[in-house]
Amino acid sequence: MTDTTAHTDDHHAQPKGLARWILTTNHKEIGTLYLVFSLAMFIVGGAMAMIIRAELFQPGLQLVNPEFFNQMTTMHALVMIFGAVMPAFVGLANWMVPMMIGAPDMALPRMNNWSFWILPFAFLILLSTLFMPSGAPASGWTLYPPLSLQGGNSVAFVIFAIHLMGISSIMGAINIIATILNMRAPGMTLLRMPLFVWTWLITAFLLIAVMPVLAGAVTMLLTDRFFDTSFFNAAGGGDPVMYQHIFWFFGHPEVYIMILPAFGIISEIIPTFSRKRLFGYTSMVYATASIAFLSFIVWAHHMFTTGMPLGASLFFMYATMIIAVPTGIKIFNWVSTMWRGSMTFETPMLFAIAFVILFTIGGLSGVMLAIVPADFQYHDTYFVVAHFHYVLVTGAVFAIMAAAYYWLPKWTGHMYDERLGKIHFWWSTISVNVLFFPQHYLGLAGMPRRIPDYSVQFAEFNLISSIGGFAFGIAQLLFVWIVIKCVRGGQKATAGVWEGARGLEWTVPSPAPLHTFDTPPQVDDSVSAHKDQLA
Amino acid sequence: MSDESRKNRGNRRPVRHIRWTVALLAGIAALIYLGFIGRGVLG
Repeated sequence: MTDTTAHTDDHHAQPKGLARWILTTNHKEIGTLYLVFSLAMFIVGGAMAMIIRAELFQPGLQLVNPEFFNQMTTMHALVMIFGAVMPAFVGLANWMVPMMIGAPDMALPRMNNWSFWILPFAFLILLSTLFMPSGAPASGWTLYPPLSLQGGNSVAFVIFAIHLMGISSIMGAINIIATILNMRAPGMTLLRMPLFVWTWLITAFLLIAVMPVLAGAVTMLLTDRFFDTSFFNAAGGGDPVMYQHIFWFFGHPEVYIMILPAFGIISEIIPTFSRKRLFGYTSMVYATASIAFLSFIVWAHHMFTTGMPLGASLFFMYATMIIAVPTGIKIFNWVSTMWRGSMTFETPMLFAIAFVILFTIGGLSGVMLAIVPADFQYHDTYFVVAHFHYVLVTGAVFAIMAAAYYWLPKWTGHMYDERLGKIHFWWSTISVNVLFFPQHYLGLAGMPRRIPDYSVQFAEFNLISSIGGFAFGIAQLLFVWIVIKCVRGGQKATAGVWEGARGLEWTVPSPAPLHTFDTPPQVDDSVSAHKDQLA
Repeated sequence: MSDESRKNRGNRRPVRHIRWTVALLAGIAALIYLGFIGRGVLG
């Protein structure tokens, strides 16, 4: 008997040109859209960073007025966090998660399209505030009241943009969880999943838990600003410190949203170029889950100086320090994976090794900041700026770079230019340290963050930092060129691409065809990226 | 479902599982959003 419900899409004409990208429901094409959007935002946010560093090149006010400087620090953070880093990881998840678990696509392809296409409009709204009479928001990305409520009407646009980004993130997270829990290939048990899939599964739960918290906080900010409520307005009986608590209840897990997928990427790359399976796979999974749990009980370490009871300060201090334990487990496992491995140092591996070393520097300065009495000195200084840029640039961004080099041959079917890749790596790694390491000293010496002018004793380190900043900025233009060159052509990539690569994504041809795993593959230990620890 | 088709399905779940997953997660997100604002309204 003929099955009349059987359906094939082969007879549909594939849209061409712009319509292809607007209407696509294919996870690979949507992944590409996310990655291209992220790269564009990385350049926009980077241009803002260049303005900041140019103004700080020497003491005094040179290039921009203080109001515009404050707008730049605020917008740089918002664009980099919500426009560059998060969409880059979502793009990588879109491309790789279905292929890694042997699924034909994401569970909800149309919602996937919608998740992406909200983003360009959200950022058009956000960036449009730069051209409004009251200017862009200038209160820092945290939008603390009462300062954020004293801005112009552009705050409404910013809050609307944040709501859109939140909706996009929540839909993306739901899609990823639904895909991983429901669409794995036969044999792909939870403890056979690649670490990148595990870290994204946990990250997606974090997103669902905290993006509504941010949305709630900014909704209350909106009603305080435009509808005369007093959630955070002390004059009306509200509490501005309550905003800080709510914001950081979102904000700290947000930090882990931006670093857990990076841990996953590094856990894919180091075994490949060490030609060994990942050391301590199961402990990696539990460490990731532990970090995610702890991220919910450390938020007030961002606000020690608001004057908390001593008991609360001690709790948040110790809870924060405990995060060093699962993070240390990860560092140990990466180093142990490399130990006695047959290592080679292609560009993805170079970025991965730099990640392990430089992210650890950011982690250690985080432990310093967790110490309550010490934080009274460090709080709101350049030491904090140095800390989170080590975590987010040499951490998250370096992992994204490593992932781009690692998977570019799979995406494009061409090998990237290894010589240029290595130049990009060394140029970036040297300049990023010239850029951010002196900021530790500036902070320890007492230079506050978010100021356009400073005392002359800070001049030398700021000059060095700015030179590093310009060099790092130029290095990223080289990265854009390497990507364009790889897309346009180059040496043909094989299906396996890397000698030591394991996992389902390396069993399909390069470039990966538009549709993969329509028939589910059978997964066992021989093709799984990680040995089944329960076997 | 026969044993053979169950084996071939592997970990891939029926569509209704996806619907329930989405409904549950979206519901949790909505509850958190409204819960925080509700707590703010109560003061």
